[in-house]
Amino acid sequence: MKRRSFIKTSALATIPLALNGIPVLASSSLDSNSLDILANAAVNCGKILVIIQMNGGNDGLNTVFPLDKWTNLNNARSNILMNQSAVLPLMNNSTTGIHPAMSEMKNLHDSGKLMIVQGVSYPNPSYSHFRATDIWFTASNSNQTLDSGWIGRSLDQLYPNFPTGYPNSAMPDPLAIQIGSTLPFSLQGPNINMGYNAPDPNALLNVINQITDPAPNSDYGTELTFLRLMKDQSNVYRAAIQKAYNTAQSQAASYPSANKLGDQLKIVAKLINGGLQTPIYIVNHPNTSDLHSGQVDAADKTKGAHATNLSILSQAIQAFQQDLELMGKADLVTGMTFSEFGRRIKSNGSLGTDHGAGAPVIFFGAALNTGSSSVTPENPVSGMIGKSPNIPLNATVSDQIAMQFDFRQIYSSIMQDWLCMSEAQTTAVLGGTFTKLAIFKTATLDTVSFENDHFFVVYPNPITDNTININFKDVLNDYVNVHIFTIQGTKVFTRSFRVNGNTLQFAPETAMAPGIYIIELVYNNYKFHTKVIVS
Amino acid sequence: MSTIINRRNLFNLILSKLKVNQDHTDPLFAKYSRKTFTGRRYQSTKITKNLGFTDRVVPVSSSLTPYSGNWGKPQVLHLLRRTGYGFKKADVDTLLATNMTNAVGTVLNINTSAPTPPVNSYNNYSPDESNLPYGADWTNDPLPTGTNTTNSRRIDSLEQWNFGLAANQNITIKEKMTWFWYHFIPVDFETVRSAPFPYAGSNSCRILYSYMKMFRDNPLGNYKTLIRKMATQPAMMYYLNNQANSKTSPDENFAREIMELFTLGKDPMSQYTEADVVQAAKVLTGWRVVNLNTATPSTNFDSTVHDTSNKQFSSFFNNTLISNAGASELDALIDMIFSKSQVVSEYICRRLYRYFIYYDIDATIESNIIKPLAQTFVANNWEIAPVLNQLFKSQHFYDMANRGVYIKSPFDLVIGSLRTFNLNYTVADATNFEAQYRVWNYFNDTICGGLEQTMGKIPNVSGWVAFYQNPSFHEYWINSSTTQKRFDFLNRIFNGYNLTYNGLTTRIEVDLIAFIQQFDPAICANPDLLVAECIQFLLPIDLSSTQKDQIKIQSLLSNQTTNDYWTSAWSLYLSDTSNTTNKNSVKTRLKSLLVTLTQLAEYQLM
Repeated sequence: MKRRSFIKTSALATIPLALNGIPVLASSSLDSNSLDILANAAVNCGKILVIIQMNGGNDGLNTVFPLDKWTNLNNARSNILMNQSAVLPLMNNSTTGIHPAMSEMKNLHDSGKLMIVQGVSYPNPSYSHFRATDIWFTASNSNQTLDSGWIGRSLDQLYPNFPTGYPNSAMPDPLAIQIGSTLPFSLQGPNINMGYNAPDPNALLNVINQITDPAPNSDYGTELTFLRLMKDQSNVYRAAIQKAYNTAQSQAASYPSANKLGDQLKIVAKLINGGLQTPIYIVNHPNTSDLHSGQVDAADKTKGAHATNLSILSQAIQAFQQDLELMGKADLVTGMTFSEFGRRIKSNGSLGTDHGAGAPVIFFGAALNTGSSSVTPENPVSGMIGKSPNIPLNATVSDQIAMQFDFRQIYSSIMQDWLCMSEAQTTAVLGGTFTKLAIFKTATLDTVSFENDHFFVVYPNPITDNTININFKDVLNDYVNVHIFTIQGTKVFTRSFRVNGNTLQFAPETAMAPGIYIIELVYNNYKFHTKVIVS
Repeated sequence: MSTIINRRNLFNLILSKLKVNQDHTDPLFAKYSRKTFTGRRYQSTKITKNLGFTDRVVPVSSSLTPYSGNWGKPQVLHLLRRTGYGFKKADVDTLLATNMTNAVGTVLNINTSAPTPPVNSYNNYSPDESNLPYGADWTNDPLPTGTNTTNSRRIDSLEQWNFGLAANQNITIKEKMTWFWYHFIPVDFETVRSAPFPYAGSNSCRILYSYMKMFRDNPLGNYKTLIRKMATQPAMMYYLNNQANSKTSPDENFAREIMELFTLGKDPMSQYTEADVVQAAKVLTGWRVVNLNTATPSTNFDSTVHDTSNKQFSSFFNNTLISNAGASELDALIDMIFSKSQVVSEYICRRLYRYFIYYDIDATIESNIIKPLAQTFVANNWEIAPVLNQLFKSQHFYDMANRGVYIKSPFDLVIGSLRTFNLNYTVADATNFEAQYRVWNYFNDTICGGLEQTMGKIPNVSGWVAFYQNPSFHEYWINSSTTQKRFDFLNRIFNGYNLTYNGLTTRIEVDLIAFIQQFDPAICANPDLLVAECIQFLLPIDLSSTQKDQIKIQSLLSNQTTNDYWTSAWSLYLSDTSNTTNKNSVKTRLKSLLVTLTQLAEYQLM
């Protein structure tokens, strides 16, 4: 059975997994196809991605500062560059600091809840707002035009045939919620836009509270009010949204006042608190990042339009993160900020910056791969993937922040490591394979693991000749990660394999000493363990 | 013929056959419809029973005095929306280039020549049982006995063909007026087909065609003449059972409805009695549809079944006595009914008002509009054209109080959107009749049917509730189910989909770029002007500048604040229209704009 066709019928199947806890496998379901169990697990992945779009092209170099290239940076943009001492340092990161308007985000970083991915772009970047936005939305190549969005295609993989048959018992809630009166291109699926839009924070509140903006006091206004109410109230998702929104929150964070991003995130938090299963939320920063002039105040370069933008962002995110923690759902939610491009290294003469290429993408949340355990030779600094960007000694107007990572690597990581999609699905959405980045803490998935042999068996066991044979219960044709631990918990082997058919055979380079080991297979973000003996 | 269907049974039969939402128990509707609209009356205030006028929200004092204000796009669009199903940009330009008087003249100047008749479109899947070739006109082809399947296929094709005529309407009021008559003096196609009368099952298609042809032949003609023609139309004879009305076994169905629904109405001034219905039924005995299975069916007068007794009417009819005069008694009856000229003229003027202006007729409108309009009607000896001419040229018609108050009927919404967005509802190969008729069927039966209005299907003899049912009238189109379907339809035409019939695929998708390129190049390039132009085109009342700005920024500017981003993207597209990247860049944003506008509740109003 194909996973896709399984999902289609999943509403009829038994639900073998609880959403957020111990696997609940009734004895009758043990006979069912093990891949179906996995597939259903992915449907009930339960993770949420909140995307904050910074429209206009955010100046990455005035957000995340390369402290180690200060002289070069100063040569390129002395008219807008603040004193180095004003930049907030990041803990355990000697090369990088962030804007003083982002003290809340610095604190998140220092407590392991913020991740900076440096130098995100794509080959032959576009400097057009429209084109670059479309590229980010559709996940296309620079020279390619797609007519659906990456999230729309992802949701189409997870929830085929939407909207036919939706909502249903397996997915009673909107697939994606956008706060705003238009649905973004990123949510456009192959056939239909997958999103549900709430016109703006106040209007959503109005919908939820069963009132609408006042229509004129006339017969036109009377009929308009009638139609608006009928439209809002007959929306198939209204009851679910209303119920979620009205679910009491024992303790809520206080959001910054006069912060339209905070207003939007507060609604998102309430919906998450209410248990809405919607996996995607999209909010927009209220201000443009397109600051060709007046990006900083001439008198105080730590101030200005850009500082205001970053402060709105930082305060809103901090309140939102606190809210998630208070409701005990921080592990389920990751936030991501992005902008269609960064800005030029060299500033212009109007105290601003022009359109550029690469920029950092910032993640926040409790499930990020940070802390000492995350440090590897490839990612030596906790809370940052990639290096502080290169700045030429004397940057010209044609110098750009170089690409370190393709934005589709980020999408690939989100899809597989966060939204529980398989590699095959990710490839289908992105039209190719993009190496994942270690953005997410895989340990967050530990709550769901299987110590049974319903997924695979190792034979012979005890293992002889240092050759491990694995027989899967079903044809896989997909990637699995294999880890081998000693009984004391030391990892002695780790590798990713492509399984063709239902068998896998491999031999660790270093011969395994006789003893008891645990083989862990990670497939589709679920872990399966079995004990083996090496004789 | 032995089975006599009484009126109640007939109604039950119709209601059970049509799963039209007649029980307005929809909880949302019950909550939000104008339930405070209790007992509004549209009769003269002289009648004191059932008082309880609910005035218009804002008093509307405008009169039938000719409109003398500005003649611009808002006025032109209002006239076109109310007199047709949507409009084409070319129609707007045509009317904008002239003055109000000539514009109304254009709309009322209809071509009464008969359209190309419906054809055999069904042969491929249901071969014609009288061997009429595929693509041939069936309207003069009598069917032999036992051809019930082909008769049904032809009725289907008649419904589809009717939709095609409406969708391909020109600038005039012809189609909208045809459907005024159809909803006002209706026949349900299926009820006629299954009527227990000779050859209904095998030959009703042609009498249904003739019935519709009667309307299209002269939709703005003489109302009294129309009533006389209608009275002996075979389809009506079958629909309201006058075919079964005889001296020994009277059937009052048609006698009642010709007074209650088609001429006098049930408003308080209409004081005909039950005895009058009995007498009228006697007058109407003797008419029989004959030769339905031949090339020349007709309704003849058969004196052997006619009640020859004297027919004595009540004081309401000035104690008129119709004595035995055979067939001519029908004319005497119609003369007698129309002698109640004030009642008849005011009743039909109210029905016209509800169809073209708004349902809410309060005391002011009754005296300022209905009464003088009815006088025009009578003064012009029951000609319809002068009445509409006066109405559409009046201050009252263009009064802001009457703009945007009308909830679009399913035909207004669907056909209007098809036409205004220039959707491709005409198949590529004109000789692929099956494909063309099935495309029409899709819109008439699936889309409009889902919205509870279908050409050829009428819930009962009173017509569609939205045009007559107190207290909520037009609001009855809207319930939890139809609301979603209305917005789904609008969503789908922008996402696009294929209709494939008989090997031919027709793509239903709004051509976004072509749509805006109907406007001046300068408008297309300027996002403020473009948003304003689209709003004027698509919504009945302008939006606030704040809302327009927000829509512009979120759609055309992709959340940027500088207009130049749209302007450059547009000029980049124009510089090389074959560049798909640049084309998609503008298409995506136009789609966002037009989807946003059509998903507003305002788009449901006109």
